[in-house]
Amino acid sequence: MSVEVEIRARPKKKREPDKRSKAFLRRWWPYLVAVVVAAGAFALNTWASDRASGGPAANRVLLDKGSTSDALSHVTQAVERVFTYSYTDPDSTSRAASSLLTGKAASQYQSLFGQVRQEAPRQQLALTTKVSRAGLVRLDRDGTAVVVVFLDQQSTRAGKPTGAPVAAQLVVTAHRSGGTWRITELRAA
Amino acid sequence: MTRLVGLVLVAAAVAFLGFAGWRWAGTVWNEDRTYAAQRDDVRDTAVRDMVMLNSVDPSRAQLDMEHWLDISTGTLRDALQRDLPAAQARFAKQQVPTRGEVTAAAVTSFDKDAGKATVLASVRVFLGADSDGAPSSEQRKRFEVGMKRISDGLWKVESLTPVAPGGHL
Repeated sequence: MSVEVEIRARPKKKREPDKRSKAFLRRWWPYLVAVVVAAGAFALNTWASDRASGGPAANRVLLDKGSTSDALSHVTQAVERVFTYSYTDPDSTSRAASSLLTGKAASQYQSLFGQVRQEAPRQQLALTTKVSRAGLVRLDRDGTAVVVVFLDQQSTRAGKPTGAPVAAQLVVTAHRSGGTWRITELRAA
Repeated sequence: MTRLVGLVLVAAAVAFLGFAGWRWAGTVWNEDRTYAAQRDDVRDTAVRDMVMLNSVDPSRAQLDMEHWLDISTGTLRDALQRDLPAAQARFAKQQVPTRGEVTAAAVTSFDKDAGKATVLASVRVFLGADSDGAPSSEQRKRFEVGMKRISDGLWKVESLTPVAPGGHL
């Protein structure tokens, strides 16, 4: 008896869900395919976005020729202005510094340059800074640039050179907002 | 009806997949990406080479100088080769090792097709620096480094020009 029941019961239980799921698939398979394909496409699209915005080409140095030379010329000018000083006209340097330096750069400038400015009036000091070479380490699309500058500095006392020109190297971080470049960080290299 | 909507959805999903694939392919076959990757590669090589060319350990100067010849080419290699006997004599007298460190480097020109690049490098050379003691002195140098591509992905230093101050003041 019990064996008969088992034999009869098994095929019934198996067949019914099978039929139901087959019917389900027959009706809904396009939706399932669409969901799977869309999920794959979404993942691929995200990956493509990451690759496009990241990677080595996110650094635009020499890729965007225009912005590269624009950043170089502005940073060169700014560095020459804030590191050129004359005891006869200290205000013009101060004005340049307050308009061209911002954030951390302002205090870093003080520690690099403060002493010169303190000594200058008494010793009749002047300092002329020229950028002899400049190159970009980084240039981001948001307008942030990291620049290496090689400086030549000549100081004079009462109009006479105090010695040979001196070399100095700086790593300058600058940021462009609107049309103006401001130096945000200064570091001796 | 359900079938029709489903098929439209499949078509839309496939179109999206095609679009995503096209975008992805755009990042693979991308001129900018290749150029930027090679530009960064030149910079890294130049930095590594500048460290080597500014470091010498008198106890194994022969090996250091062989490395210099390995990483250089053209005029610089010729100059190093010519200077070899003099350098050997110099290093024989040198007591302590020198160790170079690149504090900043930037690629200022890079011609991918010609295989030429120029790199600015700011270098500090520590004298007498070894693992246990602090360096006894420090020298700051700066160079314009000419790099040349020898073969695919292999760059060597072709010229090394110290940028002396006062050239144009």
